[in-house]
Amino acid sequence: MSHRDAAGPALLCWMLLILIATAAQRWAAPESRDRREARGYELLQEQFLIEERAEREAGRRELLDLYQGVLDGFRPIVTRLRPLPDASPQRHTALLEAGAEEGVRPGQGVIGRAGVVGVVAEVEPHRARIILSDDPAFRVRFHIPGKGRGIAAGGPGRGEMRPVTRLDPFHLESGDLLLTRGGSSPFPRSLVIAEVVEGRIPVETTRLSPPPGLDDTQEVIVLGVGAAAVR
Amino acid sequence: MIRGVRPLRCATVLLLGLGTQHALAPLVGGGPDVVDLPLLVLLWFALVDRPGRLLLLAAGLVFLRLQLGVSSIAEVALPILGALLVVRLARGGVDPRDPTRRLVIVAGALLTAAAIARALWSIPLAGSSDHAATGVLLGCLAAALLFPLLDRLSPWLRSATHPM
Repeated sequence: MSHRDAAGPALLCWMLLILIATAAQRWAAPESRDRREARGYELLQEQFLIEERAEREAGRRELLDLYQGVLDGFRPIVTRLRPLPDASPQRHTALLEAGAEEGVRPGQGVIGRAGVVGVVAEVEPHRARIILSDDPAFRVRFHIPGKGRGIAAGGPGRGEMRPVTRLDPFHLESGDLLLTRGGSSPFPRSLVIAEVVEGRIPVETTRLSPPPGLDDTQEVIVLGVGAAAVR
Repeated sequence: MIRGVRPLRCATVLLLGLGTQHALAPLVGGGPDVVDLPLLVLLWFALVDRPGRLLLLAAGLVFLRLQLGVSSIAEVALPILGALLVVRLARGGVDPRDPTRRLVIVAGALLTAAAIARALWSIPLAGSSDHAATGVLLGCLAAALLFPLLDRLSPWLRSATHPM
């Protein structure tokens, strides 16, 4: 066989070898180091996600347990609150990860671990914007046990509230706690709204302090009104 | 289109103001007396520029705040309109190009905006006059820092002080 005659089969054998080797890679080649490392990261990520979900779920259960028995007449919607600055610097708002599809409606109250957080202002299908309790447009009816009732509002500054009016003659003193009054308000009775920082006369100039960290990322309860909640 | 308004360039300046406000939000806080940087940018335009450009920017700011916030049109527009009106009226009596004197006009405009916002939300001045005073002082300080920068942008904006 001449060299020219041998070239054809040789080329064929070479191509066949390449094909066999390529096919064998799938079966014989061990998992590359990069692939193994990527898999390791995937497992780590999965573990962190499972922990995050468990932590969030535990937080939600604790929050519901905390308010168990107090939310009669309300349909609690547990969701997460995230900070969301308003385009107007005068306003103080936040975002909820639940919306109309979950039963959130404008005007519903929002509470957290420390008490009143705010009121739902605008609702989209799967998210909602709330005005926080230190927003100048926020209004809530309060009572101070053993003293009297009134209406409080947000502002004038961030992290501040103020009494708008009193319905009974009483003097606000530092350390007094303003609690929700219930009734037709969007909140049940006896939730903490704010603490009196400095009692002043006239009462409208008194300084109140809502719970700190209102717009921190946290689990909150939206006080939905269900069929059973109509009173 | 209003001739010589350069809406894109003006909008860029306004958006820079909004971005700065957003970035500084944790420092400057909130409430009716807060330092409002986009409003200060509008006041600068009101001091020396054409009414067409000013109205376009004011409308843009009101639109953005309505779309990206929970405020009503009155809560957004009235303080801005009040402040702009004060500037346009006051610049007849005080030189709006003088770096120091224009701050007097700005102080008046900021006081007006804060007063209107307080009236809308029924916040009495009694008991929070320190907030109002601090807000106006900080606003003037911010204007003193911001306006020289905006003055340098005048040729780029082809503003009334640097006509085409």
